[in-house]
Parts: sequence; C-alpha cells; structure tokens
Amino acid sequence: MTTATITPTAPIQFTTHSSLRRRLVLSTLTGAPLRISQIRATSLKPGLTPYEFSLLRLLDSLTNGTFIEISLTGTTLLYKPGLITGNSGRPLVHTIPENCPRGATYFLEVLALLAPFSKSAFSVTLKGGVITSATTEDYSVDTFRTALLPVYASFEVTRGIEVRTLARSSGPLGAGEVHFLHGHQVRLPRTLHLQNPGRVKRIRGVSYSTGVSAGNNARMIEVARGVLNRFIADVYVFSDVSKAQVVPADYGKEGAVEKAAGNMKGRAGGKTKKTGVGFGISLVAETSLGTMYAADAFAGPAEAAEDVGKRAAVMLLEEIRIGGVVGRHGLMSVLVMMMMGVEGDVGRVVLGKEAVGEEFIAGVRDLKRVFGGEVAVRDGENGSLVVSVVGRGVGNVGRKVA
Amino acid sequence: MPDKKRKREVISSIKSDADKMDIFRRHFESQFAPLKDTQEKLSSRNCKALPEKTGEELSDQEWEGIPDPDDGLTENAPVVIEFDATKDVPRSILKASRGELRSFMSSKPPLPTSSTTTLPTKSKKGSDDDGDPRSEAEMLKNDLALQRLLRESHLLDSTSDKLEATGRNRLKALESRIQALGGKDTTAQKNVPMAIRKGIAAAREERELKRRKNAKEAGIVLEKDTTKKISKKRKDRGGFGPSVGRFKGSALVLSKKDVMDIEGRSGPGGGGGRKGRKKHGKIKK
Repeated sequence: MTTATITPTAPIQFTTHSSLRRRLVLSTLTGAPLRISQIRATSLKPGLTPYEFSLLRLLDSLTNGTFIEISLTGTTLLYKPGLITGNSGRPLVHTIPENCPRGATYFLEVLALLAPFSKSAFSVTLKGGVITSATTEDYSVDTFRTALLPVYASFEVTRGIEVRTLARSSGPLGAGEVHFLHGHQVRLPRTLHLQNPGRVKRIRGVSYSTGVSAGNNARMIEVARGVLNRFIADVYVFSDVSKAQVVPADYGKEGAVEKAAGNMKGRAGGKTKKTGVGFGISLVAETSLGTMYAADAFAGPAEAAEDVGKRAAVMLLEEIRIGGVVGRHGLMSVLVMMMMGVEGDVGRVVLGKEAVGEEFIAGVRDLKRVFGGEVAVRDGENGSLVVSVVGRGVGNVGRKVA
Repeated sequence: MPDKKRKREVISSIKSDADKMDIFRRHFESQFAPLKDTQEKLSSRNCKALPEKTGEELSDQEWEGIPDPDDGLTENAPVVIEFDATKDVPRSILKASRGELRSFMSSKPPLPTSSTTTLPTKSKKGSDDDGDPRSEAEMLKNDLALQRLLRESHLLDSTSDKLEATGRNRLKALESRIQALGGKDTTAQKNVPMAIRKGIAAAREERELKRRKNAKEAGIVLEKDTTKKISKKRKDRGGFGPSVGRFKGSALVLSKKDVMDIEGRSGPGGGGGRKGRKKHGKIKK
C-alpha cells in the first residue's frame, strides 16, 4: 500500500470529458476520489451526456458507499468511490438510455475491469439502448467476448465469465440486451511476463446482421476470407442472423418505452418501428501463444457487404502487422491489471511500436495520476517496445484475506 | 457401327460450329477491322485436333476416343482454374471438433487453445531436467517442505511475503506439528462444560469450512482435508455376528488372515502384529 492510493484526502483534479470512463474506473479500483471539471464547458450541450450519467449510475449500483456530486450544469463532477461489492445473488438490470450512441462494450469494458476486484460476483443485464454491434468508437460485443476476455485469462481470471447476447441490435438507436456474468474474483492479479506474441495460427470471427438479409453475412464472409485465406488457411467466420427489435415509433425520445407500456406487438397500428437494423463483422486472430488481435467493421450508410468484409479483413491484417503480445483493443486493460498486481513485481509486455500512440500516453498519464506508478518503455528486439509496469499492490480491497 | 455414327456426329458438329464462327467472323469483319489471330488459331487448332480427312477415310477409321490432351492439343489453350475462397474449407477446420467450433459461439469466452497451455510448461520442464539434475533426496526434501507449507499456509500472514509464520502463528504451527506427531494439545483447556466444548468444536469446523470455501472461490490450493477420519472398522451388519471370521452355511469360516490374527503370529521375518499382517499381504501378491 502506498500513501498515494490509500489516503488521498484531496481529490485528484482532471479537466474535460476526455477518457472520463477510464478515469472513473481507475478511481473506483484504487479508491481515490476524483474531481473532473470543465466537462464540455464550451459545447452547445454542456455537461455530461446521458450515457455518462448512465455509467455513473451503473458504478453506483455496483459499489457501496459511492458519493457522486454533479454541478447544476453537469460540467463539474466530484466522484468518491466506494467499495466494489458486486451484486451476488441479486441480478442487476441496468437500463441504458435509448439514444445512447456508444456500444454495449462501453459499459462491458468497465464491468470486466471492475469485476475481478469485486467482493462478490457480478451479474449485470444491460437493457434499453444497447448496441451490440460495433460503433465508430466501440467494438462489438462479439469482439469483447472472443478477444478481450482472453486478455484477462492471461491474468488467470477465467472462471464463471459469460457474456450472453440475448438480443442483438445495431446502431444508432439500439434495443438489444446483454447479460454479463463474472464469478472470478481475485485478491491480486498475476504478474504478467509476455515477451513473444507467437505467430497467427487461426482466424475466427462472427458476422452478424440484424433485420437485414442473411446474404449480407455470406457476402462479408466470402470477401473477408478471400483476403485472409492467402495468408492462413484456418479461417472460419460464423454467421449470426437475427431479427430487428420492434420499438415504439418515437423510440429515442425520453420516456417513449414507458408511454408505449409494452404495447409493441406487431405493428400496433403504426405506433411501432424496427430499430437497430444493420450488419457488421468481427474478426479475431489467435496466435500460437494465445495473443489475440481483433478487428471490427460495421456497415455505414449504403455500404456494400463486400466492402465491409474487406475493410474488416484489412483492419485485422493491420493489427497483426502492428503486433505486440496484446492487441490494441486490450492494451489499457492489461496496463491497469498489471498496475493492480503484486506490489513491487515488475511485469513486462512487448508491444508494437505503433500501438504506443496518443491514447496509450494519455492512459499512462492517468495511471500515474491515480496509481502514482510509472510505466517504463524501452526499445526491444526488431522494432518492438518493451513496456514494464511495477505492480502497486492495490488488489482487491474486499478480499483482504485469501 | 454405333461408334462410327458417333464419330460422324462429332465431326459434323465441330464443322458446323466452325462454319457458324466463320459467319460471325465475316459479319464482324465487314463492320470492323479484319481479324488475323483468331482465324489462324482456329484453323491451326482444327488441323491439330482433327486432320482433314475424306469421308471414306473417316468411315474406315476406328473411333479412338477423345484426343489425348498431352499430344499438343491444349498447348496454346489457357489453363482455367476456378478459385473460390469460400469453397476450399481447409482440412484443419473440418477436422476441428464441433465442440471447439461451438465453444467459440457460446456465451463463454473461447477456450484457450491447447498449445498455449502445454507449450510453456513443456519447455520449463525440459530446461529443469537438462539444466540441473537434482538428486532424489533434494526433490523429496522440497516435496516435504511444500507439504508443510501447504499444511500451515492458513497461519501465514497475507501481508508479509515470508514463507514462515512468525510470532503467535509460529507457536501455533509448532503446536500443530506436535499434534500431528501424536503429542497432546497443550493449549486445550481441561475442564470445559460439554455444551461449550461442542460449541467450540462446531465453530472450529464452521470456520474451517468457510476458509476452504473462500479459498476454492478464489482459486487457492489448500492442504488436504485430514479432519474427517475414514474408519477402517468393519461395517456393523446388524443383528448378531461373530467378532472374528464370518458365518457361512451355519459354520464359522476363518480366513488365513483371521487365523493369523488369533494366533498373533506375524509374517515371516516381520515385527509386530499389525505390521506383520501388512507384510504378509504384500508377499501374497
């Protein structure tokens, strides 16, 4: 235990809304209070967005003793985290605002990072405006399950983890449902030493279409395989077809679902519409040593399925080119988990040079502010970077005794 | 006869095809530039494939089957390979068990592949064996130390990373070792009312159960549970029964073992009674 993590009387000051989610997670894990000011202060819509409020509410319901204070305009936030208690035995249903532009992974990533350090198991059902497909900022739920959760497996967080996609939905107005279960709580995560990413031995993927023809899936898969089969034979992409969700006609406005009061059978006299229509593809490359690289593509307006498939395949190849023992999708999770690790233990991961960018630097800066620990980066073999992280021994406060 | 008929049909069809092509070509040439290559190619191919023959010759000739592709027929023809990425499913996927494929689409994260788990351990083992071949005695010593550590792990302080208990816990560990060797529990109080004694025992058991449960949840390996004794006594079958041997056909049947028991004789070269019996059993094998 360091003094920086245990007795920070004054809250850590941050400004603007950038990486708000990451800061909240770090604060919750360490117990350090935050004060974030100037949140979209110059925007036409100042303050926190509905989905950020939703995230705060989710954090509040999974912790005990969290104190949140938001200014009238919503531009200043004081966050004093409580103990991560989880919700063992009492399943939690969290409703996301219907007009949420972020994917379900925006919330799931937070849950995946908090759950190992919870006092009891997590069982959270996300409802409302859940977008299971990839969005411009978030990857799909499939990528989360098949590519990010294996990242946690390298920290030996494996048991009782499930992500059930109960209803698929695409953007912009999602209406899906995802059930997240996490039953593996640890005291301290294992120290990670990964030097060699191995070679890509297989590529798997899921192509999904909601409310559109299944032919889109076949077309995406064909093109993606056409690109990838030249490099590796073991390519298999699953196809998932589902119906679009039927919602009230004025879905997306506040209280639309409550007004409809469950009267959403069929067309209901023109009072309903279909939402979340679209298709996309998630590709995951697995190496011989268990590293995952992932790429996601979702169809833009009037984009051909072939283009989407090709885009995803090329993006995956790009990820593989960048390399590293962890794909860019799981970089922050790995760094945070390493910092949570045994105090004084130095964990090492090898990353591709291009994986270290603006996002990485910003993340490491946040880590330094909240954890008080630094990350050392030095040149490795053939153009890679070796990132060493000293564990801070924060671990699971709810499980002091093994 | 039918052979000849077929041959003629083939020839005529080829010829008629060539005629048709000729018509098309002429029409094309009347509108655009004259074509050179095609004509040459067509004629040359025709020549090679089927040299011009008179009707009589044809009627005499036997049908030789489809011309062999090796004898220059397809020399100039482009080789067409149909490639479809989706159709040539690699064998590894076909071989992959349905379970593996299904596990990818289940709600759980996909299973880590076997090579990821086996590879590092293998290499480690190999290096150990090659690097420093440890003596049997040392291995045994380490094994015993590990057993002791596991047995006393619950006394270790979770905050310090030492592998030996200190202070009060060290005394507790010492006490437990003495007890394991058959010593008396010196810490136990002597005169305690039965109800309280039962309560203490129950609480102890509950505490132990809770500790084991928590450890299991957290994935911690604990020492083996030795509190539950497995009784090696003969099962009481109810009713009456002999204290030695068994009744069969209204006669007391004594096995060799029973006889040895009664006589108190040990096996050849054995020491005490119990020990002797054991040895005897082994020799019998």
